[in-house]
Amino acid sequence: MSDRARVRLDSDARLGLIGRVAQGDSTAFAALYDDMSPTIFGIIRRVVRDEAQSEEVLQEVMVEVWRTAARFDGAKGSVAAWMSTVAHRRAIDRVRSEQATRDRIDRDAAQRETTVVSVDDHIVDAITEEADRERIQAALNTLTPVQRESLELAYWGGHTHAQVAAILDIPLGTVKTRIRDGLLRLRESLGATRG
Amino acid sequence: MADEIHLLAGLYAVDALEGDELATFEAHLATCAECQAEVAQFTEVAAALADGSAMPPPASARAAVLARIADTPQDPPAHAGAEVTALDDRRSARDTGVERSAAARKPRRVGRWVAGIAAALVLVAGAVGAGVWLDRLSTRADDAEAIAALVARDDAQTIKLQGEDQPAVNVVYSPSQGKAAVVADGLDRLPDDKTYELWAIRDGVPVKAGLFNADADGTVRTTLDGNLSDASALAVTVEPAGGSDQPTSDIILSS
Repeated sequence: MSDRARVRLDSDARLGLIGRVAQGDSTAFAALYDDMSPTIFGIIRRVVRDEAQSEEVLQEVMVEVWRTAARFDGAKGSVAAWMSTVAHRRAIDRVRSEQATRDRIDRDAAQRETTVVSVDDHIVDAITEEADRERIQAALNTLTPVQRESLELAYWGGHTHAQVAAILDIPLGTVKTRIRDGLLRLRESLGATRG
Repeated sequence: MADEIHLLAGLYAVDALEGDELATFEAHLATCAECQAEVAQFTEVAAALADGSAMPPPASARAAVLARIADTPQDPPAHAGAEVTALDDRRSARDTGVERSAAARKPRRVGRWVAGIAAALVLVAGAVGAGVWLDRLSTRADDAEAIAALVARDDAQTIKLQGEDQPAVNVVYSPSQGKAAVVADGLDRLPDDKTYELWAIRDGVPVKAGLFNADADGTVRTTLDGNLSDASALAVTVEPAGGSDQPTSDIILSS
């Protein structure tokens, strides 16, 4: 249909690729890059926001994946989850400097007054395949608004739980519970559709 | 409160912990299978969420990344510490760069080595994993292979020898193989007319158990024939080249 549509590899295919990458196979790495880079860049872009900085972080993440491929342990989780974790952590490192943090707290607190959940839905709409988008949207819809808000402030906003508590003006313990309950609920609803 | 720390698995998976709390949770995570499983699942959930935000990067990034990996050496596979690989990944992702984390690791080779042996013995790591791990640390591949085979034995044991002025030396031995290995980093290299000699103390009497010296960089990876299992203690002295039948100098390292 759209020439943007991606043919996604399944987790076994990625496992095979990462094994070859670990052996220094740059062709396999290129294939993994083509498969995963939209997901990885999507994470970075949403956390970092700035396009040029996001591209820098993407490069760091991908080089780290290349460098540490041999240390990937399939028993601990999927290739996609591992790469996403590396990307998220790197993106957070990029934004979690003192001043940047203060700015983001102000920004997210201000945004909250107009819209409860600050997701860049236009990005999601433009890029993601319809099926994926609907599946994830449906899962997100199973969350209570406050669960979703805390989770997205932490994951996409790159805030620590203390910052989330400050932004929402709720106790720390409440943030912990909301994020955990939110993840549990997502796990349940996504688990039904993921292999 | 166990319940309290459990709640942190969710925060950890979305990278919402930092500072002391992060360190405390990671320490807990290392020993809590329940939290490990939860973090793994939550990490998958977060990755699934991320799929919903996919966005193709600029085409220029691909060429740049492929050019960079052509010049980037790869880390060796996970060693005996594979148990904590996921945590290591998070920690290393924390460092600002490859170079920094590599540099930070270097001076702690001895500690890592000692921890590595302990981990290998506990996990009874497969010969493959142990071999790779030893190869990484050793300057001499042949010895590394022999030591790897030794460490991988089910009955392998390690004894730490310590002294006042020297870094600790580890002796690994396997009764079933009838072999031992001396492993150390940062040990003084002795001049050619001298050697370190290992002694097995049996019934209060030192029995010679092998000779070794350090490389120019202080590395020792030497395999020795002989079973040490009936020794009550081990000791090291400095002897003339070729070794002695009885110690002729003070003990510098002992178990």
